[in-house]
Amino acid sequence: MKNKFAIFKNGITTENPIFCLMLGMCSSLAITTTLTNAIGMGVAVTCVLLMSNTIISLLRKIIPDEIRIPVYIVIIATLVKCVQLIMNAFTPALYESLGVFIPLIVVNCIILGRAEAFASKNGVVDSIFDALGMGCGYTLALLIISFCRQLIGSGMIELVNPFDSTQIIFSFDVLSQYAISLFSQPAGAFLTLGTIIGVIHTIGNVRKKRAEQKKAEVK
Amino acid sequence: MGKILKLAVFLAVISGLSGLMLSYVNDLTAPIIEQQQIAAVQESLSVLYGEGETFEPVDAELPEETAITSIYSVNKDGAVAGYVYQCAVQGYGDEVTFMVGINTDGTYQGFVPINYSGETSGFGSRIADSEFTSQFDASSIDDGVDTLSGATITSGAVVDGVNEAVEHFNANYR
Repeated sequence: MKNKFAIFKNGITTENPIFCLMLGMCSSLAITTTLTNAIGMGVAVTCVLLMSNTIISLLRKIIPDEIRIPVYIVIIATLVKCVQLIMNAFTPALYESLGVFIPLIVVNCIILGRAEAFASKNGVVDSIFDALGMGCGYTLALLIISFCRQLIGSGMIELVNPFDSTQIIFSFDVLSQYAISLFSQPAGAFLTLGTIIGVIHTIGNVRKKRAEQKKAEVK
Repeated sequence: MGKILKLAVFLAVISGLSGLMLSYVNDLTAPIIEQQQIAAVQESLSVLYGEGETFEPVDAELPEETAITSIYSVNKDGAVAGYVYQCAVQGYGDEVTFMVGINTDGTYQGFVPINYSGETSGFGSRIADSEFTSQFDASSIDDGVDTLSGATITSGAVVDGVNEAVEHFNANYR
C-alpha cells in the first residue's frame, strides 16, 4: 500500500502537473477565472485521466509500439466526447460555463503525457493511483491559481455548486473596489501562474539547500 | 507489407470500437439534451409571461442576416397578448442568446438572458442584473434601451438585437 500512496502523493507534490511538470497550462490559464470553473474543470480532467489511464494500461501489452500515439489519441478523444455528451445531458450549467474547454481536454498534455510516461509501462492499479494523484494535483493547482485571480481580479471569493448553478456555497465580497481586472484576463493569468511557480520553486530550492547543509554538517 | 497491414487493422479496430461507444453514449444522452433545450425555452418563456399563457412558435419571414432566431406568440384567453423574440447576437466572447417580450400594446413585457457564458463575469454578465433588465419593465418600445457603461460590447450587441426585434414587431404586428 505504501508504494501506491507514494504514487498518489507524487502527482500532488513532487510531480504536480502544472507547477512541476508544466503540462496542461493552456486550460489552467484560461479556466481559472473563478473557483467554480476550476473545480468543474479539475473534476472533468480527473475523470478523463482515470478512464484513459485504466484503458491504456489494460491494453498496453497489445498496442503496437509504432502506432501507440494515434491509438492513445483515439481513446482519449472518444472518452472526452463521451464526457462532453454526459456533461451536456446531466450537468448543463457546468457544461455552459466550461464551454469550449471541454473538447480541449483532448489536447490537454497531462492526459497524453501520463498515458505515454506511466500508463503504458505500469499495471492497472498503479495507473489508477497515478491518475488520481495527477488529477488531484491538477485540481489543487487550479484552485490555488483561481483563488488568487478571483480575489485580486474581481475582489470577491465565490463558490457556486458546479453541478447546480443556483446553489451558492459561499460568497465573500472582500475588496471589490480595489479589484485589478487585469487578473481576470489572460495577461493576469500569466502573471499569477509565473509568480506562484516562482514561489514554489524557491521554497523547494531553499529546502534542498538546507537538507544538503545538514548532510554536510553530519559528515 | 504485412506489418503495415497489421498496424492498419489494429487502428481500424480501435477506431471502430470508439465509434460504437460514442454512438451508444450519444443514443443515451441525445433525448435528454433535447428535452433540456425545450425545457429551457419553456422556462424562459414562463419567466417573461408567467404560467397560464400558451406559447406557439410563429413562422415568420425573417431577413437574411438577423439576430432573431425564433418568434413565439403569446396566447391568452384565445387572443394574442404579445410576441416573444428569441435572439442570438455576437457578444464579447461568444454568442449571447436572450428573449425579449413585446406586448401587442407596444410595451415591453420583459427581457430574459438565456446564455451569456462567454461574457466577462462582472462586466458583460451585468445584462442579467436588474440595472439592465429593469429598463424593460412595462416601458414603451419607442423609448429605446440604453447600453451599460463598462460593458459596451456585450450590452451594445444585446441592444442591437432588441432593436431588431422591435423593428420586426413594428413592421408586422403593430
